[in-house]
Amino acid sequence: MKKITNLLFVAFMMLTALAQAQGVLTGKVVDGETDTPLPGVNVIVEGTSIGVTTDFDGLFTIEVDKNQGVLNLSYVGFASKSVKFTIANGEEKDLGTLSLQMDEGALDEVLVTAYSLAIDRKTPVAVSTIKSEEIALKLGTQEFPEILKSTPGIYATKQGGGYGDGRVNIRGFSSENVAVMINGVPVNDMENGAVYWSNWAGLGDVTSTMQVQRGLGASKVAVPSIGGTINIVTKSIDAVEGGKISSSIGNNGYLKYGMTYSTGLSDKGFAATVSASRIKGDGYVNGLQFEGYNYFVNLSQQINPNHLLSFNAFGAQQEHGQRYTRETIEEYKRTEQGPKRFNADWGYKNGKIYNSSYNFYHKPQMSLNHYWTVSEKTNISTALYASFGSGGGRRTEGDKIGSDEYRIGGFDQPIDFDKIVDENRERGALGATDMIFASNNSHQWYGILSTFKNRTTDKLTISGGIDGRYYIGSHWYEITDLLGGDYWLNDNSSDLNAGQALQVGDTFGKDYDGKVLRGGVFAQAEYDILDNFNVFLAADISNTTYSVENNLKNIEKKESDKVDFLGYGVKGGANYNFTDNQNVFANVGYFSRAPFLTNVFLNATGSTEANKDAVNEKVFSTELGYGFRLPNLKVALNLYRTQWIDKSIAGSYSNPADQNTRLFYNLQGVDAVHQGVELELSYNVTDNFKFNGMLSLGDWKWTNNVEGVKQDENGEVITGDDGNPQKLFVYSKDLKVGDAAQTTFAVGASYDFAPKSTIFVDYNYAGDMYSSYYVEDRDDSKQEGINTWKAPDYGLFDLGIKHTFDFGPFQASLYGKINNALNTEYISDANDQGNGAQNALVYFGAGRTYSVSFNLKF
Amino acid sequence: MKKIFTLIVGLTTLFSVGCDPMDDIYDDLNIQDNEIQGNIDYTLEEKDYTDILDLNYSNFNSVDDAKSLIPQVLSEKYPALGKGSLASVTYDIYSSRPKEDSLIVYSATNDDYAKYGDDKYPNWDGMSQIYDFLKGEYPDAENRTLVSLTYDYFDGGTKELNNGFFYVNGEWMFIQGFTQEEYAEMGESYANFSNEDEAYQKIPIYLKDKFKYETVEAGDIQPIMYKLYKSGKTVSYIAYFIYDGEMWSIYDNVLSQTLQFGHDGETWIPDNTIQYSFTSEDYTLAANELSSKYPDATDNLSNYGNFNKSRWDDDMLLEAINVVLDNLSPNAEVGQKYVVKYTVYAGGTSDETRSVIKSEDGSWVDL
Repeated sequence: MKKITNLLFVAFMMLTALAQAQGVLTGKVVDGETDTPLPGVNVIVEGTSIGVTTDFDGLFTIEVDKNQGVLNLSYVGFASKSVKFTIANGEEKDLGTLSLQMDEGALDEVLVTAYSLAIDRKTPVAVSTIKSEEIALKLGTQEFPEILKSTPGIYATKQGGGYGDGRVNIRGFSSENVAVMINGVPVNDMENGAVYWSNWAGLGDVTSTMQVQRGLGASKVAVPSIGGTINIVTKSIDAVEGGKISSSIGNNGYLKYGMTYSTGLSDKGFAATVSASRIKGDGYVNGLQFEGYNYFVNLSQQINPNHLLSFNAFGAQQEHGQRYTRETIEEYKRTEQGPKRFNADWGYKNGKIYNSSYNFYHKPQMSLNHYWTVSEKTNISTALYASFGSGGGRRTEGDKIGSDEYRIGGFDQPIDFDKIVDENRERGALGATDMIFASNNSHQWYGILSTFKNRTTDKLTISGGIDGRYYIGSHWYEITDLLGGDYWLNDNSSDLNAGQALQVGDTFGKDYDGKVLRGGVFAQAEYDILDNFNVFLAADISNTTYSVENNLKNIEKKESDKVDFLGYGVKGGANYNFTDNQNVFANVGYFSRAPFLTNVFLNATGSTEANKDAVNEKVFSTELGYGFRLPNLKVALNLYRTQWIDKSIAGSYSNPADQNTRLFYNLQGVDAVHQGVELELSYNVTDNFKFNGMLSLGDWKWTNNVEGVKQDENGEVITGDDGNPQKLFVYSKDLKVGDAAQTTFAVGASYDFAPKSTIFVDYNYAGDMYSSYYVEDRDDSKQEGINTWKAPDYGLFDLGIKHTFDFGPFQASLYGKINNALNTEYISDANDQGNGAQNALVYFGAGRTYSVSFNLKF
Repeated sequence: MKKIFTLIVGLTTLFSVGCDPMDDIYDDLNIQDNEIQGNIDYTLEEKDYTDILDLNYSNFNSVDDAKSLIPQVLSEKYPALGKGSLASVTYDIYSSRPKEDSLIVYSATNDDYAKYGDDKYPNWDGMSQIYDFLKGEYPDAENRTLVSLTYDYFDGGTKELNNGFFYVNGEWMFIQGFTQEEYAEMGESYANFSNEDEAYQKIPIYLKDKFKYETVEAGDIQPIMYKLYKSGKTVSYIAYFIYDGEMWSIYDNVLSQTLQFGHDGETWIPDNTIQYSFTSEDYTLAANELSSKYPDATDNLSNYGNFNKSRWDDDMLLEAINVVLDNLSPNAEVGQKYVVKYTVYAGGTSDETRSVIKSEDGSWVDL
């Protein structure tokens, strides 16, 4: 659009032959650290509303109406840059390559602070950054976290393969120990710490930068960054009018189309960006059809030079079939469909696909951000946010669904729901034997996050802030389909409606609310001892209050007591740029984290009793880093050692003597060490040919054996017949941590075969993945020191191509992408069941998948 | 450019573990592609014996022969079936019954009744008296001597009987014969048949009626003595008749038997595996028996009637299987195999199977 406008404008000017000075400036904007092009950089002629954005190759062309002036370049997460120009009438002048440094400055400084981004050669943490163009080039149909797979310490899989069901582990820690922040707001589940990527399924479309900080990270807010922090920064204010329409097709009916439009910054300082897309497909694995709508809205108002108000809303409404049931390798191999595609959790009902495992969720996330430049030295950013999650997963009741007798053919064939419906109908007044219900997990979440930053002296910068959150999560089972039955008889004896004939919409089995109130403060001091040597110290303290309320069970105490936990953390670090191209850094941190609500209320479904002995977990982490930089070579080497001290594992079971009470155990002092080496490098052989690689060697294991005693609900130790306390023993010493590849490496190469066209090949290797297990289940002394089954190592090739060309007045880009190009059969996830490969329950990774997409920018 | 790419691909391939990371595991687990698991019932046909096994007769000489030879037939007939498959095979085995070598025809006299009976009446009234008579009168009988004995027998009334007594391997064996009345019922004017065919046709019909109140099972073999009028004299013969569950027919020395074979991944082997699916009573039983040991898991089991995988690990499941099989088959022999099927819950319900065998110490262990 703007090009046409500009063209018309130019033509008009020429026609009217106004003797106004004018010329054309061109240039290329690159990331000062990596020399990679920066797309989407705002280029504005100072004092005017004339502006353009750089294209995917960082190139811009701007017509100016004066002979001299200043061009302002700005981009989220980077320092703004002003470039003076002089130009003769009618001249076309190339300003050459302009580099932006990821640094603090002006508006961006606010964002860097608010989003807790790490700055290369300054913030002493291990960091890898992925930009929007890499996401556009490499994500394809992969799960969003899979974009990180070439990053050291990362293990990302699709798990069952359902849309949004992916997972990512950092340095061997699963999602509850990996902080995920979107625009600075922590999004880990408030009750169990997990990250559900399906909530953010469309996020790849609107991400401008994704930064993985491994280890302690740069976050000032208290977050569970034991493994690391994934910082996702969405697009925000687009100063220039324009938009994009795009469409993708891919394997198994994959179809996605969407559009983005930005109004540009008006004279009154208002800008709006709207993005929406629709996605659907049948899924690579059988029975994993999905459909989703992704949207993103940003409304910004620059009130005056010192105040910017910005409203963000985004979400991804989706529903998708799931593969929950894992099979043994042998069972998979026996299936007609083969291990890569077989899924036991779906069938047909009335001629249509009907899943026994199905997910539906919608979680809009809204935030109102206020960026206030108080003075040259002080700024305050405040985010008020709210998020409303609604949805859940489908569950089944009864023994028929999933059994071999109720399939259309053998064990590897779809579930015959019609047969169940027929039998339920025949039972008539006897009610349904089998039915479908939803396990709903809805929540409301409100928060405030405010960060203050003051450059106290030339050398000292102090920042601090508050982090307040209130959360209420509702969890209940609701009948959604009686499968032809007249009713379903509630056989949960502890329910208030036990023994009643229930209908669709009725609740049973589970209905409770979990409530979390959390308040914290944080502070950080950064001190530049020398120009090339800086240190920082940060501390946070927070109080978490948990409670639950039971709406269904026949218990006296409907509302639990409130249980408080005080958590705190201290971390510090230093970075020393000892030459122009070498730096070293170190960081060390200790924190004490409140247990999750799910560890405090071990049986929230049936009881409001809290586990009185739940304690904080402590983590001690140290890290050393080294960086080496030449114009065409970048190397980063990190050594880390994270000690998980006193990991507490709590569990409960119902009292055999009295089924209505529960007995507890608290195993304390389970220690683990995750240590390793990470190497990352990129090398530009020529301007057109680039090479990158990564190697990550982890040594993650449990370090000791522990024992615990069984307790009753009052915390009293339970004694056996001999009068001694009943104990639990866990033989965990020297066991390798499971569920993530301890060895990974990646090599990749890309070649620009035309100015705006690239072809790439990536190879990712994952090895030493021990099958997943619960450490508290290692209670057999005979199995002491014997690791769980190690899944086979595997390596996968990805290929892709991008070609950009002019399409009339538009810029068109075509992307082609093949994942797992060699169609390798491999195991991505494994649960140990004893007896090694024979019994391990696994998921196979997807075979070859592809996608082709087309973008049109205007 | 091309060279660089070749180099990159070459290098990465060097590092990689090859394109098929699963190969070793499949080898270890002995998994072949497209392996089919199936259960079949099969009855050997004549050409299976003669063509596939190259035998002269359409039967086996012994059960051991059947065990060693049938796998060949199965491999040939069902090449697609693989590990875990079961075949129930019905085959014929040659099992001859002894026939008479020499015949003595004798009618008991009053002296015999007096000598071997236990009272003054001119008859016998107990089988032991007859055996005493045989031992006393024919102490040196040749092996396979048939005595066609006509005698008066008191059993509520005195009746003249004609039965066979067959001396085999040092023992006298009773062979059912027919009385005059019975021959008459079979349409004979005299106490004999005219020829063998007639005997083989009529005797089965008569047996069906004779044993109508007795429990006869398929496979039961009944020896019978019948008489033929041949070249002016009456001769007694032994014939065996076999019951197939419905009808009697002449036994041709070939017995039909059934053996189960299982496929171990490489070949078929004789297998006593029994397939069993848990019933709801079994879940209840396991929950009750193990409740004190695993209160939590059994609590869940009795609530849902399936094994929740997050609560039941492999060892616990085996214990539950032990409970159920000990109840189902308390006297199972060591080496008895079961493939048990039960429902598990792991987010959704599905069936799981597990193969177990009864070990020396009486417990059921993984196969």
